[in-house]
Amino acid sequence: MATQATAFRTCPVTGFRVHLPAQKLVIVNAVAGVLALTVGGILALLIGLTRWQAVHLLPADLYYRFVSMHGMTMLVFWMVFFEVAGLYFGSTVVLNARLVKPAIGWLAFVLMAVGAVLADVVMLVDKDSAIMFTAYVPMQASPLFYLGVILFAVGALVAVGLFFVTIVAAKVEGRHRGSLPLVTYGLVTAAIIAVFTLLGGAMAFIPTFLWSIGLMAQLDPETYRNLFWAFGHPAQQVNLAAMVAVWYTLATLTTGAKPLNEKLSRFAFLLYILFINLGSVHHLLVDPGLSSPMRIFNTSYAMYLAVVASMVHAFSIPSAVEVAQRAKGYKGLFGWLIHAPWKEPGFAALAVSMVMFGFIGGVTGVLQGMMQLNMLAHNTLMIPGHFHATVVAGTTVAFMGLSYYLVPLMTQKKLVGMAWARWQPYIYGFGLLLLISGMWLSGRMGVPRRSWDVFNFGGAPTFGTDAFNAASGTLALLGIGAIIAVIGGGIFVVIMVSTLLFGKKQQG
Amino acid sequence: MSLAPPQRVWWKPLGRTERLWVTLAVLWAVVLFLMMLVWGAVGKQDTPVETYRTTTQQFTAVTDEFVKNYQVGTDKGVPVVAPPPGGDAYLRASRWAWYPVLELKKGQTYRIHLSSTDIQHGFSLPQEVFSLNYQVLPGYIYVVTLTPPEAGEFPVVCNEYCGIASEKVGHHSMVGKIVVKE
Amino acid sequence: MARKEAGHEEKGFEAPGTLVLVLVFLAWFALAFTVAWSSLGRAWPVH
Ligand code: HEM
Ligand SMILES: [Cu+2]
Ligand SMILES: [Cu+2]
Repeated sequence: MATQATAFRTCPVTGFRVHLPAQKLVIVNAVAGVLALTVGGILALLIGLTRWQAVHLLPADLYYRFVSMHGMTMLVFWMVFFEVAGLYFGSTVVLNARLVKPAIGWLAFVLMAVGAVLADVVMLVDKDSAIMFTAYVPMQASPLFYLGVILFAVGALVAVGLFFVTIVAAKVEGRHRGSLPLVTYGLVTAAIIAVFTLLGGAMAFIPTFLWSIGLMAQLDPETYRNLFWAFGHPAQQVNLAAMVAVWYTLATLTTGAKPLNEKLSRFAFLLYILFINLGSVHHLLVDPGLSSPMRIFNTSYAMYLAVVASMVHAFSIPSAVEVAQRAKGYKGLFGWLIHAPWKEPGFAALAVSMVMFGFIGGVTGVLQGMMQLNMLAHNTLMIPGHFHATVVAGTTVAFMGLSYYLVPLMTQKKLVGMAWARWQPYIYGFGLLLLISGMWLSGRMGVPRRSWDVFNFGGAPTFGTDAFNAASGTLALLGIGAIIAVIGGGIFVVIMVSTLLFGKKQQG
Repeated sequence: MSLAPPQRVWWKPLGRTERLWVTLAVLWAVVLFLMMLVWGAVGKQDTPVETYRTTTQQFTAVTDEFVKNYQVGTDKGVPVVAPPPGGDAYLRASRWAWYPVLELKKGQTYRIHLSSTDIQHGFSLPQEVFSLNYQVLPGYIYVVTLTPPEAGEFPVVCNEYCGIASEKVGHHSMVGKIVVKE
Repeated sequence: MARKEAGHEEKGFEAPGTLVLVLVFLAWFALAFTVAWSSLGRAWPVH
C-alpha cells in the first residue's frame, strides 16, 4: 500500500485528498472538452453569420457540413468529455477516494478521442457524410462516420463503468462512509441515465453502421427515429442531471449553501431516472405511426413528473443560497440576493445558467413538447432556439462556471484573468439571449432550421415565397447574438488555456 | 454543503415553503397534462394520427392517378390539381420537389396524404403566425386533415435536411405550393 | 460546516425571497402557456 499513499496529495485550500492518476484523467478529459468547445465555437460563428441572411457568409455546401459538425462536436463531444471529467472528479476527489484502474480511464479516453476526431474529419472532408448529427436513414454517411460515433460511445460507456466501480470501491475500502454527498448522488443519476442512453445509441448506430457496409438491411426510417431519440433524448437528461449537480456544487462553493432538505433534492433526482427517458417521444410528435395516448403519455414524461423534479431543484438551490446568506446577516426579502457574490465567476455562471435554463429553455421545452403545440415548432428555428437555452445557456454556462474552480484545483495553478472570468458568464449569456431570441422569433414565423437560404431558396427554385422576408430583423439578431456569444465563449477558452500554460504554480 | 456527505439524518420532513411549492408544481403538472386532452376534445387543431404503410412504387402510382383524375392546369411545369372538397389529396415529396401543386377551396376539408419516395423530408406550411409542420417519411403515409380558413397562395417548405445537389438545387430549394381559392 | 440548521420550523417561510422568485417563474410559465395555446387557436384547423 505504500505506493498508494504517495499517489495522493492533500489540497491545501479545500482539504480534499486528491488521487494523482485521477487528477491527470480529469485534466485530460476537460482539456479535450474545451478543445471541442473551441472547434464548435468557431463553426458556430460561421453558421450564425450564414443564417443572418444579410451576411450569408458560407457557401451552401460548407454551411451544411459545419452545421453537422457543430451539432456533433458541441452536443456530444464537448458535453461528454467534460462530463467524464466531472464523473472522475465526483467519484474520487469528492469522496477522498482513489480511481480504480486508471489504465481503463486512459483506454476510454483514447477510444473517445479517436472516435471524435474520426467523425469530425469524415464530416469535414466528405460532403455526403455531413448529414447532420441525427443521421436519419435512408440518408447514408460513410461507414467511418458511424464507426467514429460508435467508438466514442463505447469509450464513454467504459468511463461510466469505471465511475461506478470507483464509487463501489470507495465504499468497500472504507474511504467513504454513509450516504453519498448530494453532488455525487446527482452524478450517479447522470451516469445511470447515461447507461441506457449509450445502449440506445448502440441500437441506433450499430445496425446503421452494418447497413453502410452492406451487412444488414436498411432500418425502417421510423424505427431508426425511435432508436435514435432513445439515445438523443436521454443524452440531454444526462446533461440536465449533470448540470443540476454542478448547480448544487457552485451554490456551495460560492455561498456555502446547503440544501434545505436533502430528501427532497434526492427524490427529485430519482424522478429524473424514473421518468425522463419517456420524453424521447417529443421528437416524434408529428411523425406518422404513433397513437394519441402514446404521444400524450410519453411526451408528458408520465404526467410531467420530471418537470416537477426540475421545479423542485429550481426551488431548492436558490433557497439554500438564501438560507446561507441570511445566516450571514442579510435582511429583508431580497437582501440576500442583492448581496450575493455577483462578481464571483461561479455565482455569475450559476445565476445566468439557472435563469436562462428555467425561464427560457425549460418553458419553451415543455410547451413545444406538448402534443398539439409541437405542430407549430417542429423543425423550425424555434427548436434550436429552445435547446441553445438549455444545453448552452444552461449546461455549458454551468460547466464553464465549474471550470473556474475545477481547473485551478486540479492543475494546482492560479486562474489567469480573474477579472475577465467575472464578466465572462454575463457576456456569453447576453450573446446567447440575442441568439436564442433571434432563432425563436424567426422560427415562430416558420423559418426552418438547417436551411441555407430562406429568402431566395438557392436562386432558382421552381416556387419561391416571400413568407420569410419578415424575418430579416430577427435573423440579424441571431447573427449579432452569435458574434457576442462566440466572443464570450472565446474569453472562457483563453482563460482556460492561459491558466494551463502560464498559470502560477500554487503549492499543494 | 452539497459536496460533503449529508449530516445526521437527512430524511427530515419538508418545511412549509417546500410543501407549498411542491404542491403547486404537481398541480401545474396536472394542468399541463390535462390541457392536451382538453384541446384534443374541444380545440380545432389536433395532431394527426392516421397512418398507413406504403411503398415508393405504390405511392408514386396513387399520386399519378390522383393527378390524372383532378388536374386543372399547370404552374411552372408542375400539375395543378384540385381534389374534390371533403376528399383525398396526395402530396409527394422527393428530392427536391413537392408534387403536385394543390388547389383547395376555402372552408372545405381535405385529407392530405403525405409521403416520400426517397428519404425523409419535412412538410412545413407557414401561416399568419407560426407554421404547421409534419415529418414526411418514405414507407409511411401520414394523413393530415386540413381546412384552410383563408384564400391565398401558400408555400410548402421542406424543413428536414434532405441533401443538396448544388448551391441552386437541394434541401433549401425544395418549395412547393398550395393555392386556396374563395 | 457546522453552521446552525436554519429553517424547518412549522411557522413562517424558511426562504421567503425564493418563494417570491419561484412564484414569478410560475406566473411567467402560465403566461407563456396561455400565449402558446392561443396562437395554436389561430392556426388552420387540422387533425
Ligand atoms: C457561441 C455559441 C453558439 C452559437 C453562436 C451557436 C449557433 C448555432 C447556430 C447558428 C446553429 C444552426 C441553426 C440552423 O441553421 O439550423 C446551431 C445549431 C446547433 N447548435 Fe449551436 N451555437 C452555439 C453553441 C452551442 C453549444 C455549446 C452547443 C451544445 C452544447 C450547441 C449545439 C447545437 C446543436 C445540437 C445544433 C443543431 C445542429 C443540427 O441542426 O444538426 N451549440 N448553433
Ligand atoms: Cu426535402
Ligand atoms: Cu429538405
